[in-house]
Amino acid sequence: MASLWRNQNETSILIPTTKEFSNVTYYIIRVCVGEVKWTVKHRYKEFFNLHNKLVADHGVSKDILPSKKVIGNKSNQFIETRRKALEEYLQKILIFLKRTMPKVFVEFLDFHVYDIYFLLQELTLKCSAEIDFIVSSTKTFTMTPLELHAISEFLKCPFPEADHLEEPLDLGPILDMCSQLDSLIVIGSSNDYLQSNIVLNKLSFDLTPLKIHNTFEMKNLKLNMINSLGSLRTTLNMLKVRYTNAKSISDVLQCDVLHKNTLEGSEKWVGLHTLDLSNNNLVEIDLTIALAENLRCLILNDNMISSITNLSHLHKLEELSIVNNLITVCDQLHMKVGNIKSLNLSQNNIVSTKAFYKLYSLESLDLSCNKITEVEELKFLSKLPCLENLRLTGNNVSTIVDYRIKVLELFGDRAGDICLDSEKPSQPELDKVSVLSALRVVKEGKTPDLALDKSNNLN
Amino acid sequence: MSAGPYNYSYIFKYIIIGDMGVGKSCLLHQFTEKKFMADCPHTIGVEFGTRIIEVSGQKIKLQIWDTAGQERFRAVTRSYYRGAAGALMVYDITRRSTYNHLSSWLTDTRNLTNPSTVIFLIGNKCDLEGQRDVTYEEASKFAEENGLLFVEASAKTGDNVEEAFLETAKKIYQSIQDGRLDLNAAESGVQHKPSQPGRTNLNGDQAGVKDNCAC
Repeated sequence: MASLWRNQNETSILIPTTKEFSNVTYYIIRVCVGEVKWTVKHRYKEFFNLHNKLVADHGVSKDILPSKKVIGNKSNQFIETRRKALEEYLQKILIFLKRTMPKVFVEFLDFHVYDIYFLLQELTLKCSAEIDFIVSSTKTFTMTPLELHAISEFLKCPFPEADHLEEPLDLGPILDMCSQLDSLIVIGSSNDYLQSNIVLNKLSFDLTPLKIHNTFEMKNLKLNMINSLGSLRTTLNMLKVRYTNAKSISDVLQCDVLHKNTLEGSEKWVGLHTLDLSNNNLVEIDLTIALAENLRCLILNDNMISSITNLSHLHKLEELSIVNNLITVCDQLHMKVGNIKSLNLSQNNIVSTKAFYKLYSLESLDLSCNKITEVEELKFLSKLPCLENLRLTGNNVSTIVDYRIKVLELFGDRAGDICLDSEKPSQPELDKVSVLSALRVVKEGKTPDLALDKSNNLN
Repeated sequence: MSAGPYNYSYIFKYIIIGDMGVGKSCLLHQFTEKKFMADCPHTIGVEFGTRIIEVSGQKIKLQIWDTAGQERFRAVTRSYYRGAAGALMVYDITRRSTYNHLSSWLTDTRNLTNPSTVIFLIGNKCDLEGQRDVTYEEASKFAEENGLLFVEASAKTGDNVEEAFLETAKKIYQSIQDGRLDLNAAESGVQHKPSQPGRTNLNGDQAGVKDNCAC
């Protein structure tokens, strides 16, 4: 991003062209600071207003702005002459006011949007005005990678020559706020930022000045541009890293670790209870997940994970969501995830429910949009004593005749407790289920022998 | 069909822990089926059992998680401690090593459950008096020092099995009555299932009666 103070001599302003929008001529101003370029458009009236302020407050000489013209100001020749004159005007002003950079001029040329120094100045004002509000509210605060980059750059190397400015920059309010944030979201992008050639995802930033007490979310970023994500280890409760280039969980949880093949106690994310790594390029749940040992909720939607592994160390895990991945077969899940309440494996390639037969703690199971075709494949769910929500829509099995009745029948006495595809069984359905079970009793000459029912009926 | 109201007013979650082969699954089987299972296979991960009991006129459903004792399942069985209202810690009176490991089981229990969890120590296989390796007095002292309830039981004969499960439930129920156990806490291991109005309750649910006559 731009830094006028470091590129004093490589700064230029040009007005290469004009453009007409709804009958008004706009002058396209091109600002170059070192490598960074951006454009701003203004009409003559705005130049005029700027000039008046500069004359009044900053001793700019009155007659350097090309004069107003009421009639005939649409001719190409006139506009061309004025374009050149305005270009010259801006160049003169820049030379004259380079050392002080008054606010009106900064804002006229959008320096406060693209330049480290002026952006921070703007942010400081915002922080001092709103810090109490921001810190006390639990609402998520948003920062751009640009702002974070500016803070990091400034902390790396302050601007010693900046004393003679209108208001010297004091980062105090920003850092004060950064150390008290409840929740922060940072959204990046791989495209050009606004009207500039700045690409947010090419800006590195450091998270050391930040202290976030609850949630940190980042989206659309490149992880390799972020330094010291690890500094949030001890405070974060919730971490959401979505739409990044992360290929493994280690890329996130060990982002700052050099030797990734060993897990050190100091790398643990002690407070973390929710981790959302959706929409990345994860291919497996690797061992490093054990670093977040207190996780209660793990969301890995929209990745390329093919099996459920390495979760047995997460004793507190209650909710697991691996929607839209490549999970096909998962055998003996109860040996891999223990006391789990909610499991969402929607949009995978699961054909059977055999793997779930001993996940006794399961209360909610979403297997919608999988490859289950036979009711027979669902019988393994019938002994899950706590199951209350079951979703099977989008499987072939849900298109067969009497699908609901056939599935509900599997649950015997508990049929009434099962909310199938977000719908409680109706009384006619329950009646049919009873009739079917009664018929089966007659046919087989014995009651359906669910060990569970027997123990239920003992007393 | 039980589509209507629940036929119990509380659910208590129990966990059974202890070394491999001390008889955890047999205790559960004896309690739920009132039978001794002679050739009990090793538990893989976890097993589950349930039974409805009655404490002070309240029907209580016990959900019992019987964990695998084998070391290789330790990681996954640890997750079941969460939200347990009662923990039955079992050792084998004929094998001292299972008794010696109790302190490590106790540490796990204390770390992974909440303070109101009732821990009950069971010395199993008390029918094998001849092979006894741990005296009643010694275990009793250990229990007392650590604030545990203690009984010696036999999954084979059924001695004291019923008592152990019931005593634990009584203790938990007591905690609820005293207000020491918060029903609304997520990890209490207890769920209240109020009987629905219009349902005759022979045991006279006090709150229900009150509701009906309040105008």
